[in-house]
Formats: sequence, structure tokens, C-alpha cells
Amino acid sequence: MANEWHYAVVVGVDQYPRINGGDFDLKCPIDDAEQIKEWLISSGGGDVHPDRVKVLTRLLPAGRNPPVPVFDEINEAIIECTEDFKRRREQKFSKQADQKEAWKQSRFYFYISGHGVDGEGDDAVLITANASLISLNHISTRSVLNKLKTSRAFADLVVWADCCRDLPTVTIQDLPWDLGERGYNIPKMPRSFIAYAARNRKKAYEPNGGSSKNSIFTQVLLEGLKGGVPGKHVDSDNLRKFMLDCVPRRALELTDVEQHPEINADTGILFGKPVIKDYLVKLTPRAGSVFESLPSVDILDMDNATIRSRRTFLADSDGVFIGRLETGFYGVVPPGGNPLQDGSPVQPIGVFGKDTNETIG
Amino acid sequence: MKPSVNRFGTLSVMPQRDFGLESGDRRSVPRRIQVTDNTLSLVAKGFGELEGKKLPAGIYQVRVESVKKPFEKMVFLPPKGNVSVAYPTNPEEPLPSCAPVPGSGGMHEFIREPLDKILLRKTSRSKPCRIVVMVTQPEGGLPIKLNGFRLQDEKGHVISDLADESLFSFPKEGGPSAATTWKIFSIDVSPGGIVLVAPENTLGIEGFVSQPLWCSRNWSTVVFMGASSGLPLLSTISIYLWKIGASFAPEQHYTLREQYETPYILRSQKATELALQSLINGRSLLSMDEVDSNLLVEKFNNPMLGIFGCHLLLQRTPKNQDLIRTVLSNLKKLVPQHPDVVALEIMSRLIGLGDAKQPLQNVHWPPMLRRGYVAMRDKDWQSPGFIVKQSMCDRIRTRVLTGGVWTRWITPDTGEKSKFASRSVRARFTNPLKGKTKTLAGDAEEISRRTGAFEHTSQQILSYAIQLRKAGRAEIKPDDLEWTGMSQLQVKKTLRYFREKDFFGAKRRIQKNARSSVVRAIQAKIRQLQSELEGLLSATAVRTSFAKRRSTGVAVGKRRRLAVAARKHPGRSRRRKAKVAGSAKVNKQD
Repeated sequence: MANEWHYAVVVGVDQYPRINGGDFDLKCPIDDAEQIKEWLISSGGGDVHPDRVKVLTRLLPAGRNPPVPVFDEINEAIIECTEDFKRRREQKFSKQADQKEAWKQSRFYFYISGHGVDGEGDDAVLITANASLISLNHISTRSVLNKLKTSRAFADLVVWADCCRDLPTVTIQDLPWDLGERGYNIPKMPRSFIAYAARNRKKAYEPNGGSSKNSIFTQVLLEGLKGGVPGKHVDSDNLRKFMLDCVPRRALELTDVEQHPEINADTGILFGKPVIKDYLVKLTPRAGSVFESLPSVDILDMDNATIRSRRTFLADSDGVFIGRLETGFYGVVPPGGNPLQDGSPVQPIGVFGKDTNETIG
Repeated sequence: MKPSVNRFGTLSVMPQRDFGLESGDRRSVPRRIQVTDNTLSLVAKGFGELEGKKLPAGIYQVRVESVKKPFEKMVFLPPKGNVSVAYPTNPEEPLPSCAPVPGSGGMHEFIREPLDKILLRKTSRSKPCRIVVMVTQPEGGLPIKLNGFRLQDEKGHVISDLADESLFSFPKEGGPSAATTWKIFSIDVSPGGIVLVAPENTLGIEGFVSQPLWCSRNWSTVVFMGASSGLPLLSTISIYLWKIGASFAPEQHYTLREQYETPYILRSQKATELALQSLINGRSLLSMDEVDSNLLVEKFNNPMLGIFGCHLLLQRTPKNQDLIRTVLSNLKKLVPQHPDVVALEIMSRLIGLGDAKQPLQNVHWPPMLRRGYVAMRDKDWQSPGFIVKQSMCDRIRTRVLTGGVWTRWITPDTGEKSKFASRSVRARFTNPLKGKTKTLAGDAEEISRRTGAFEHTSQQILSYAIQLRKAGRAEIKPDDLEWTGMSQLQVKKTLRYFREKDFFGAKRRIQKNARSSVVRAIQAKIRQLQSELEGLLSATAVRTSFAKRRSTGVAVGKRRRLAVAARKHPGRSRRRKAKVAGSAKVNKQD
């Protein structure tokens, strides 16, 4: 059953026709928005009803005059979500207690992908499609968050902003909303998960070539949401840690530049159903090492000075050990080895949300 | 369950000690070290080195950040084991800064020496301050040119046109046109504010950008800028305050080199640049606990270290209140009335530090750091008049650029006319709202004219007001416009304009209501009159009928009495009848 009280607005701005005659255009935002939408509506993922996911790109909804999407329609989409949630809640439940329970299960996702502005330090500001050198039209995620938090429109607020934070402008416009009080005064609510693709005054990047059509931050975000995080549950805590580690790693691999996300998250927000995702791992023994010519190796998962699990990778015809592992750190040892007790040789390796090839020994 | 002590190991992370580098090489920068476990949780961190960290036995990732590719290593920590990880140091990896200070890319002896000579010179009594602008390009390349750069006073008068090469010192070889590695300009001035104006071509801001400088008595305000292909880059600016007559590069002097203060001076310069880069990156590159308290407290002779340090301390949680108080107190002694120090006082009072009873003096010049300016502007919103009206601080309100460390605004200001006033800037930002009627564009211009606000901001206000109106709001309140950076007075003028234009339709509603009420009143009156008329009419009918009934009754009564009398007195009645008949005859004859 879909998450009945979850809503989402997904925005991807790839073209800026009024800036430098198209030199400012991007490759990935439409695919970014599409992939995020797919995760949101998938039953194993966000499980949000498709009618409650509003996608705004150059192509969707069809039939609009470019340049789109613009501030007004993003604004209206968010307000529509808040209005629809309030209306449905009141129609379904006559008792306040039931409405309160429904509110506690609610969530709003706000995803943006495009160029961005250097806001007031704690903001990611998306430049909208109709921006020009004359007028850098924009929408501030911090303003969206503040308004939704103040009005308690939803219990969980999730913002994923895949945009740069380096261009200066004059004055970040506030949002003309007055939603009033929509929710309930419950301690530590609303909760929020706020992830920006880059640190303050830094850029976010698209990959230089490669097979993925997504921006680097969105690639890693999707990987984490689909189970790439360490552990079985994708929650705010391990998604944050996964992204802090893997976004810089992926940026260096794909673009040879530094990109560090900025993430602030309240604990306990779950994303999707429990899932364990594993990756293909190939371990090539170095010539002359203890692992050379072994028929197999043991892969140890250690935690707090104890061995949590042991699995075996067999060697193929080339002597390469092949198997599948989840994201995490492991010790590769000869069969039966226990470095915590008998001092056997151990090769530490890491799996970071993707297929891995390592040389060991 | 926590493992027993025997199940712990000790992890250390150190920089490699390469031959050929002095220990504590002046160009090395402490690197940020992070250690994560198999859940990718951060279990240890440090700067430069991490010594003897006790962790449960297991697998860890050591990561050392770097300007180039970070150093990463997976390590196994055995029970009761000692593991030491050495990361490579690269002398080519200094801080990305142009300031010729230890640890930065601009650190070259051939740059420090000429700078030092200028800073050692005494000033005159009439002009006890100095401004120094130094542009560096250590790798050389095209000659450094500062076309479009200038220094202006508050009124917009040009003090120095930095395109004039005769004003500069430069390497002797090859003359001014061959100044490819450094150029220095200096001028002695009176205490107060000066504006550095520079051309800027960043997207969205094409034209000129201004940045405030403050000159304190007996101090040099030193502005460092890096250059690329001969063009100075505003984004690389670094500002120092240095005591006039004090050596900036004591290591260059034989007599000063061995003095005990020399290492402190070098360390304070390095810490200053690290603190600045921390503010720029939004991420600490140094631990304030590791900055020797001597640098901020006892041997405090570097105000910019104090200013940057205080900003960093105010951002941290929990806050080291004693250190903040001490640094602030030292700053007030060293550079009294410096706008950045005033701004720090405001910011510290917000967290309960400082003497709230001591009133703050009104301000007229913006601080050099943008966070400080925002704090001043917020204070002025709460206490209108705190920023002196029409002062520089007031005039730039709606032009200040977002983001960045330094306070910068778009020029020209209406009060800053100079021969360099850029039509291009006005043209780019004076834009009729595209797709809207001319009336709206005229509205934006009129708001700007009345309030002095930047026209781009006026357009945003108009757009915001339209959105509010669409959302059904009947009015716009002053607090709704706090985000614009305007003063309360400017906001009042804006709201007055909206009222005059009846932007939200209040007058029309009132008139409509008034018309309705007049109509209702007239209708009520009509009804009242109608009912009165009806009342009158019905009253008249009653009297008439009543009168009829009365007269009829009288006649009947009279006949009855006559009949009774006739019965009683027949003769009298006959004579009466004859009399009546006689008069009737007479009447007939008439």
C-alpha cells in the first residue's frame, strides 16, 4: 500500500536559454528528475502515489511555453501538495486524533537539479529556467523549508538539492506563503533530511562521459536509496554517512575534481523498505603474496573487535577471487584465518556502493 | 557491547618526514584527518596528525584531505596493536591563497621582502594610516594590470586609479610592463572608510563591484590579490591589518630573525590565513583549540586573526565564551571603532555575551566581513536608526551580494557617481519586468526612486507583492519585506506607494463596500418611507370611516330622541314638523 500521506515535488532545470545563448545548459537534470521520480513511485522505494509526485522539467508537464520550469509553477506545486494533504486528511477523518496520526506519517520530498546560487551560507538556491543575466530568478530551498516547518505542513521534510552553491546574486527572495498552522505540536517534529550536493560556495558536477546519465550527487543518492548504504535499512543516518563518503569518491573518479556534499539530518527517517544490495567484488592476488595460488579466501566482516560473519570467495581459473559483498569494510584472510586471535595476515578492503576490483597481498 | 580493553588497538596518523624539508616546513598546511569504521561512521578526526587514538580492533579507513587527490588507506587494527599510517606531504600543496604568508601558495621570499619595506615605513601625523594593495602572480606570465580598479572615498571621489602604473612598485627588472610576479601600491590616508572598486564579470553581476576597507590609526590595511594571466582575481582577496613600523617578514632581517617573537609572527600569519580559508570554505581547517592562546590573547598583535577567529568561534557549538570575550576585548583595544569589531560585538550580544547595558554607537561604515554586515542590518531592523541614514552602510543595503566572505555590493550607487559609473550595470539591472505591462516596470522604478533601493530588489519586491496578491492577501506588512535588506523607513515608503496605487485593492474594496452601504441605507430609507406612507394612508382611511360611523350614529340618535319626544309631546312635535316643513318650503323657493 502506498505511503498515503507522502508527497513530492521534483524539479529539473537543464536549459537556460536567456543566459549566454545556451552556454549555461546542463546535461543531467531531466534524467535526474526522472530517476528520482522512479524511485519515489516504486513500491520498494518511496512508494508515493504517482498522483502525488509532481515533476517539473522542460518536458513535463507537456504543453507549456518555454523557458520552464519557473518559480510560479514550482511554488504552486508545493502549495498544492500542502492543500491536498490538508483536504484529504480532513475528508477522511472527522476526529482530530485520527488526523494527528495521519499527520505524523506525512512526508514531503523536494528535489531540485540545476544551476544554483551562493545563498546565505545554509541555503541551496535553484536558478529557474527563465533566469537571465539581468534577473537571476530563483527559488530558495531554505525558504521552502522554513515555511513548511513553521506551518508544520508535514511531519517529515526531505530536501535533496543537486545544484552548485557558488554564483553570487543580490537578495534571496522570500516565499509569499502564509499557510498558517497546519500540523501539530509534537516534540522533535517536523524532522528534516537536508542534503546539498556541494559545500557553501562550491560547485556540484556532472560526470565527464561514462555510462551514467545522472549528476554525481544524484547518482550516489540513488545508489544509497536503493540499498547501497551499509546495513539493511536506508535511514537518514546511514544515508548521510554513505553520501558523505561516496560523493567525493565518485566525483574524483568521474571528473577528477573535489565535490563534498553538505548534509544535515534528524535521525530516524526511513527511506523505502529494508533492502540488502550487494556488489560484485574481484580480488586479484599480487604475485608473491600469501594469497597467490590459494583456492579460496575468507572475507571477514568485523565489528567492535569481533568477527560478525565469514564468507568464502573462490578463485576462478585466473586465480582471481570473486564474490558479492554489501557496502562496508572487510578483511581478506587465508581460509580459516582469524587476525583477531592468531595474527594471520589480513588485507583490508572497502566496498563503497559499487562493483569493486582490488589487488590484495 | 563494548569490547574489553584488550581488544583495543592504537592508531596514529602522521605526515611523512621527507628529506630536504625542514620539520614544520613553513609551506606545509595541517591536513584534515578523518577515520571511519565499517559503517562509514566518523570515529576519529584531527588536523595534521592524529596520535595514539584508541579504537576497537577491526578495519578502518584513514582519509587525509588534500588540495589534490586525498590520501586514503584501509588499515587493520589488531588487538593491542600499534598501527601508524604515514601520509605523503607535498610541498606543492599549500593553501590556495595569494597572501605571502607561511602555508600559502603566495609565500615567496622575493614577494615578502618588498612588502616588508613598505610596511616598515612610518606615516605622517596627518595621515596615520596606510592602504597597501599587493597583487601577486608567483608563476609569472602576462604583466599584471589593474585596469578598472580604483580606490574611492565615501562620496565616490576617486582617491587612486589603480590602472595608473606609476603608482606601483614592482620588480626592478624589465620595468612596469614586465611586472609579472608582483605589484605593490601604497598610500597613506586618514582614519576611516575607503572603497575598493573592481570590475567583475561573474554571471549575474557584470560591471563593477565594491568592497569596503577600514583604516585604523597606526595600522596598515593590506589587501592581497592573486592574478591569473595578468588579471587580478577579486575572488582571491585576503586582507590583513599590520602595525605600521612593524616587520611583516622578520625572518628576512638578520637582526630580527632570531628574536623570540619571530616564530609567533609567522605562526599568527599562517593561522590568520587558515582562519580565513576556513570561513571561505565553510569548514574549519584548523582547530581553534590548537591555535595557541598566545596568538589570540597574550601576544595579540594581529587584529585580523582576532576578527576571523572570533567569527569562527561564534559559529561553533558549544561556544568558548571566555575566549570570545577576551578576543573581543583585545580587539577593542587594538583597533577601536573598527566596523568589524562593532559587528562582532552585535553578534556576541545575540548569544548573551557582552554588556547589553552599554549602548552601541550608531554605525555608518560597513564591516569588511559580510556576516558582520548582515548582523548590523538585522540589528537596524530591530532598532531603526542604528545604521545612520544615508551613510555608506545605509546606501548599500539592497545591493550587497549574497554569499562570500567579504562584504561586496554592486556599483554604481546613486551616491557614488564617478567617471567610471557603469552604464552597463544600470542597463543590466534596470530591467522592465519581461512579459509584464509597462505599469509594473514603472512601479519598480518608482519604488527605487522613492526608497533608494536597487532596482533589481524593487523588481523582486514587486514580484513578491504580486504573488501575495494572487494568494489572496489583502495587504503586505512591514515584516514581510525584511528579507529585502531595506530599512524600516524604506519599507514604509514602499508600503505607502502600494497604498497609493491601491495595489491590493483596499480602496476599491472600501469603495465597493461604501457604495453598498449607501445603497443599503437608501433602500432602508425607502422602506421606512414606504411604511410610513402606508401608515399614513391606512390612518386616513380609518378616520374617514370612523367619521362616517360617527355622523351616522348621531343622526340615528337624534331621530330616536325626536320620536320619543313626539310620543311624549305630540303637539310640540307637530309644531316642530311644521316649522321644519316651512323652512324647507322657503329653501325650495330659494
